[in-house]
Amino acid sequence: MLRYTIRRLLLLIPTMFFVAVIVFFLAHAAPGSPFDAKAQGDKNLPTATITRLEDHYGLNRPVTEQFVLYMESALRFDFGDSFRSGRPVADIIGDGFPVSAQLGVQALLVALAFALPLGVISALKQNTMVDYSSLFFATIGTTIPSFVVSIFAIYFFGVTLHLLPFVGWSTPSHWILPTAVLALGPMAFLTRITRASMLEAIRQDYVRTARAKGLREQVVIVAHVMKNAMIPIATIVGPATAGLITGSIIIEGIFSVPGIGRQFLQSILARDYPMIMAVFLLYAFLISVANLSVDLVYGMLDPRIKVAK
Amino acid sequence: MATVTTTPGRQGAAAERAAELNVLVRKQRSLWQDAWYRLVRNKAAVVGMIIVVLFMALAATVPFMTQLGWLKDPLKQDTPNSLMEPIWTGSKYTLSTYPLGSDQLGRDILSRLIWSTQISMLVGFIPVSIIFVVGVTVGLLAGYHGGWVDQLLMRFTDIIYAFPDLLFLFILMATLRNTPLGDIQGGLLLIFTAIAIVNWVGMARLVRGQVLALKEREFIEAARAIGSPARRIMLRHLFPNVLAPVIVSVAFGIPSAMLAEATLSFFGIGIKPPTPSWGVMINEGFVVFSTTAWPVLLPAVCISIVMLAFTFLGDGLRDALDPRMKN
Amino acid sequence: MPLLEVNDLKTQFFTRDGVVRAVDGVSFHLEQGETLGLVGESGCGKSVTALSLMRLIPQPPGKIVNGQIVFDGQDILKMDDDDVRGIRGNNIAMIFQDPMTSLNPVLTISRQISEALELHLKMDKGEARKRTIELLELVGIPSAKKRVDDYPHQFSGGMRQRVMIAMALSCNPKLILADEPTTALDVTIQAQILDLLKNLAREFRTAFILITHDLGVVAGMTQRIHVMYAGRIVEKADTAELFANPKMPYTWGLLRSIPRLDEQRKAKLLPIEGLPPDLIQPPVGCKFEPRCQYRRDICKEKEPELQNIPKAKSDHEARCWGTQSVPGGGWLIDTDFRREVGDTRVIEEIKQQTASETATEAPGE
Repeated sequence: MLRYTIRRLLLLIPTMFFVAVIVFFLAHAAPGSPFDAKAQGDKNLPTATITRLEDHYGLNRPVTEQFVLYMESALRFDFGDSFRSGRPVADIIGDGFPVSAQLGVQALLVALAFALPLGVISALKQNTMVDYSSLFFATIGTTIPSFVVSIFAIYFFGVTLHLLPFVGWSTPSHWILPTAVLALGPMAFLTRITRASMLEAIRQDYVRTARAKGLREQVVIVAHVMKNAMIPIATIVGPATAGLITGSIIIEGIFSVPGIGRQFLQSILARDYPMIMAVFLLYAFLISVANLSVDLVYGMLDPRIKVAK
Repeated sequence: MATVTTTPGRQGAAAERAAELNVLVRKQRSLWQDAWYRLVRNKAAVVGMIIVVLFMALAATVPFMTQLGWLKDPLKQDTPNSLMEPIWTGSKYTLSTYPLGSDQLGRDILSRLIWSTQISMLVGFIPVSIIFVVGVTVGLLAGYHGGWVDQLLMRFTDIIYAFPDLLFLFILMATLRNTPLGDIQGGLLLIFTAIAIVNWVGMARLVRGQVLALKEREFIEAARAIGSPARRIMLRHLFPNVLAPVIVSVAFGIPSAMLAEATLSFFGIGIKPPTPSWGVMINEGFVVFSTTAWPVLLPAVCISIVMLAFTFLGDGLRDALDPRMKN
Repeated sequence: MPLLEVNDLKTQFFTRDGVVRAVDGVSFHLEQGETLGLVGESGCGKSVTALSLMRLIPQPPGKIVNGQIVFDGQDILKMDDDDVRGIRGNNIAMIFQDPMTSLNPVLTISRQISEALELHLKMDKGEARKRTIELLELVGIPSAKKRVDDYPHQFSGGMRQRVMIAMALSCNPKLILADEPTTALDVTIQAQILDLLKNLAREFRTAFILITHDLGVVAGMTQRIHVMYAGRIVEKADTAELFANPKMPYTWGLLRSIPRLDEQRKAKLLPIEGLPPDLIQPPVGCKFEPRCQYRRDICKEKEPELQNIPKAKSDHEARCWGTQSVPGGGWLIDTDFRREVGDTRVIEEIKQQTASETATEAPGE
């Protein structure tokens, strides 16, 4: 088990390397430089300054050379300074990451808190109104784009009712709307998965055996069915986090949450290469770990894997 | 209820006996007929199907309507009449020539919405077709031949999985849209390509998995035993059997592609204005949100309806094609 | 008084294509400690009968629409749900066909066996565990104390079935329903399991209903056999009598279709032609008629009742016009299928085997 984990973690390295290659070359494929007028916003730098800056950052050297240089520093954990603000990239990420993490974890918890009971009840009362309504809600949640939901939420709760703030992250009441909107997608998705998993488990032969022993239906459901049904659900939480990460970029943008998601798009448009690389590598790492967790969780929960024959 | 034939002779007697014995006379259904039957019993899926067909028809008639002058020019600006409200609101900011209102540059929202239908359909279907062709081919090859093609595919998949689709799409679009590539067809080619690049791996992986499972079945062994060439096996035996999950994947891929375009356009890195798309309209409407919500609301409703329709249809297809779901 | 008396049981399934009459008027009785064989092709209704006895039929789409199931003096079909649950696993237990899927993969077998003990016999955890280990040893699982906390996947197929048997025995039921208990196992393991069941039946005086399509299984295990076809019982007889003197053409077809080791290599297999009937729209008249070699006109018109065969040695009933002395019927009463087709060797074998059986057995109270 441990060996397997280590092996998978090691495999992350070549993956990350390729990610780095692709992102680096793509980022540099965009025409223009980080210091020209468009990128810098209003600051219109004189050409001479631009050339000097480009030289300083080695932007006029061949791209492959730049890549090698970047990797060398990266391996020493020096990710450079942001072109836009001049601050070390590591600092910027250090400021933004906790915020994004908090948003993500909150959203995940909210999603689970609603999805699990809803999915279970839906499965137990299959083909009734309860089931159809929760399926309907689940479908809507995965279909309507999150930015649309955000806009409506802002309009409704923020502008019309003046109930909740929707810019920034300063007070707990600022947390409510972004968390709720971010949680919707995973919530809908997890509801469907929970329902499907429960239905699958209930159809198994061992449920018939449990009933044949005279156990009450309640006991059958909780002790026998749910224990099996929860395994696939637990494993899917990891990959669902990937969805949360993507979602947070949009949410942070719309609600002006000071996390790294917001940094992401701006850096791409501003061609802030160090930021782009750092943010991308971070995301890729997190997602790979999340995907890796699937096998690990399976190993921990399913005795068929935990106690190898 | 057994039918008795009257062929003469020994053959006839045997046939008679066979017919008599066949007491099981319920109608036999093929797999596809069975699936269709199940699909049309799913009301949500039928509604979805109807809506999808309606939108496709609408999109197809756009060139006609422009020719006939029924459709106003979606690009025509008319700033004095900007930000008109839809006529049903009864506010003083309405004009009969703008049934759904106008945006901040005075462009007619209704025509822009209808025009966007075309764009959305294109964005939905073209990348998915590419994904279908490329993904299925690679999946078949990788699954059947194994070897280096398979290894390569698996490595590719690992890398792409490490990229959240949206992020990769973002960076592709953001960096390449100002290049000559991004100028073709108002940025459409780039979007098609980007979406296809990001998603073909999933399809290939799916097909590969199916092929691996089918490869060991007897009917494939039988085909090999009579000397069928690999290509024939793949086309005539494997391909039809992987179709079911592929169809479902396609049905969900279309709204996914639409959503991707809408998101990209919303962030300004999708379709290049002035070409309208629902995402672009929402992007533009967001700016004037506090003044009037309609320029955002209307395209948002359109996206939601179309995506819901496709999703219901996709769900229905999945339930209909899954042979395990015997009720 | 018999332990179990089933009267005119009818169980149906309501499907999109129509109402499937899976069990269509089954009546039989079972004495204490007796082993009854319920034999038939797939789809004949034998498993549904067993599930009906425990009221384990899934309510939609199934329903027990008629009948009485009198167990130990009480009609199970009239009981309320709690009482039925009190019987399940306690007075009546069931062994299922596939031990791999019938055991919960994420619970230890200790837990799965103790469940019933704690529920019905009100044991506490310690007592239940002790009893569980005893049960495992009883069914022949080596190192029971060590293995009691293992999971189902850690056992081989035969071992798993023994676990199922231990689970069924746990509360000392008066009746055990064994639904194809050996079908999913290797032939060599089959013999072991059957031996185990036979010994347990003898030791604990448990009544068994052994459900199978395999005539070889029931030959050595049962006192009486009922043959089912299309949801009805079509022949009832003592085991020896059934093998020696089958009276219903279907039963004869089954016996004849078994390939034999000592047969000529070139001899053809003799299956029963045709397919079982549609249970949604069954034919009028005898349900076996389309496939029957001995049929006559009356067989197409009316369905025969299950009647005692005149001139039979013991209680021997068949659902066949050919064996009933009524106008238009009775043409098979004097027919000895075995002798007609020349199978005297088999008769001798069976006679010998059942003779040794009856010598050592003491059925009943």
